[in-house]
Amino acid sequence: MSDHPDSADPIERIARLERRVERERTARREAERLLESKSLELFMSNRSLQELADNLERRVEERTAEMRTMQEELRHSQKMEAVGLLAGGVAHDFNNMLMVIGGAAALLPDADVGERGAILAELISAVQRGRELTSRLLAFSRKTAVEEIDIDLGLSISTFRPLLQRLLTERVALHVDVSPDLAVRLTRGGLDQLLFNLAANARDAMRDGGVMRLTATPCTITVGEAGTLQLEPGEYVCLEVSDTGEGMDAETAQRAFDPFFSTKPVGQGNGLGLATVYSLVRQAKGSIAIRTVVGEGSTFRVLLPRVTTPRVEPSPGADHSPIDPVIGARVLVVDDDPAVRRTVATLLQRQQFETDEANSAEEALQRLTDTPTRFDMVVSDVRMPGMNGCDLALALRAMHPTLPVLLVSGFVDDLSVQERIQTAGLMLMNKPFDVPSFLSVVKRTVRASSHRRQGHGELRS
Amino acid sequence: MKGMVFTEFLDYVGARFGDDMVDDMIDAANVPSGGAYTAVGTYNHAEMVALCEALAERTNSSVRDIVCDFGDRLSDTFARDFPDFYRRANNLFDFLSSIDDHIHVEVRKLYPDAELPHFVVERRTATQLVFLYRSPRRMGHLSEGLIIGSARQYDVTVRVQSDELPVEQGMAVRFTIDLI
Repeated sequence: MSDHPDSADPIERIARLERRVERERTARREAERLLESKSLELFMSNRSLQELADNLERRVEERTAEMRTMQEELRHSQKMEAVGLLAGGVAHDFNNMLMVIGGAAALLPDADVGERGAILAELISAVQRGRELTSRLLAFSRKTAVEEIDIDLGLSISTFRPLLQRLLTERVALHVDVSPDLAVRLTRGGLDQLLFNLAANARDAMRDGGVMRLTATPCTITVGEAGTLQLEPGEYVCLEVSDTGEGMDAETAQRAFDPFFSTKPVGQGNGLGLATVYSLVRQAKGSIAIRTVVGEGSTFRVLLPRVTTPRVEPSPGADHSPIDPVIGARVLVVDDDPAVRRTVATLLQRQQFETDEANSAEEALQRLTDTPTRFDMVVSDVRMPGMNGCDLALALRAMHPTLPVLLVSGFVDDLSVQERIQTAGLMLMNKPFDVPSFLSVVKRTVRASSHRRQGHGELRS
Repeated sequence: MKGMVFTEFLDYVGARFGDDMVDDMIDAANVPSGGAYTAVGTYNHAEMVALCEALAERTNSSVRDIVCDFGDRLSDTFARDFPDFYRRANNLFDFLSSIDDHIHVEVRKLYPDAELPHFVVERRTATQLVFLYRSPRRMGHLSEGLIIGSARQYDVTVRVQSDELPVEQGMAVRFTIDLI
């Protein structure tokens, strides 16, 4: 405060103090008025800001939705383009197979017993190639008929190794090093496809020869790493395929997984190999990355979730042990395609089954309503006009809980149907199926079902 | 003029000449606000002129000396309440050169309606800074005091020469500051 003495007269002091108090009061009122005015201003500003934020959020949502639609359209158009590009090659391969099948069918009637074996082997081989081709096409699509299996990497890679070496040719040495006890979950044939495409890429990068290394090791992705790699943290298998080839520049590496992007001459690469690998890896909830140096080579590092408790997957042919025929068991075959329906029925009849046929799910349901105990099993297609096979199976499960239903399908394109089949635990086989496997499944199912039905005291009319 | 300048001025008068002088000065100046100022309010700068003239008359000093002395004292308030303004500049000349582009920008964030003077550097050497002060309120003496006080914040002593420019060149004062 002041160093100067103020007035000593008490009356004057009181008068001065009163004036000061009045000044302070006036100043306080002014301050309160200003505060109120500023508060109102702030309130209005806050409301405007809130409206702006809401508006911005709405616009961001709209824009995001637009971008999602555009991305979906782009993805769809890319897929359509891919389908178009593939159509030529696929048609060629299918025509070759049909040529073999048609030729064999024409030769069969006049062939002697010795020739028939060879002709039938050609027929079966053509069907097998057709099945592989459709599997590859389905794997490229996102709406893949999902059949995931657990794959023992050591076993699968050692089985696939001779094929890989053949693909690489004698110019490229193949070194393989796979740690023990590694399993991953992939679509059936997915590992072969993945390795095949990476090996083909490596081979083409080493036109003058070189070395391709294939390694598989366990690895752990931490929470910190997971974000960068767009993975869930946890245990993974690190599959690396490296070559000593020409390597890639940054632009090429960045576009390597784009569909139709290829550095190969026209006619020698469709640009779908690495795109297929990418699609397989992402479907398996994994990631893929490239390390590459021009003139030194490239390494593709694939991370796939490690399966620690593999599901038991019977090896092909394991079910083919002879099973006593179930003489007189009756199977209802449901399919809207008469040729397929007749073929399935004939296959079953040859195994001493009795068969009835229905060309729709509705017809099958009517038959089973009219004669509930007439059938021992139902074999049904999934995709049919009207009611689909999945709905039929669920309806029958409610009506006749002990009646087994086997669904067979070439391609379940409806994701909700796929999900319901899996959730309900319905039996599903993909067409074209391996005939001995199919018959084995039907026989085992009917036999197990007949035991259960006898236990329930149900009798077939 | 922002109320903070008035409240600081009343504090200055109270501290320098006593609280009674504050009363006397306000009474003599007969300002419309009655001397009831709040730091966040805005008041006519003519009230400041009237207060300074009333104080000069009662203390037998000149308005120039009072305003200049108040400016000097105001620099201590600024250094206490806004130390970053001084810390961000390496020396007095950097500080004075940054007033328009930095300090006044910050002031306007707090007081969007503030009518601030303009400082334009005309010439600068290691030991001399020449700049123009432009303001319709002609508070050049306040600026002079602020310059002297700011020099103290940087532990330097300066000689300040102020030259009021002819009216036809606008309301402006040219300051020539020499480091001593």
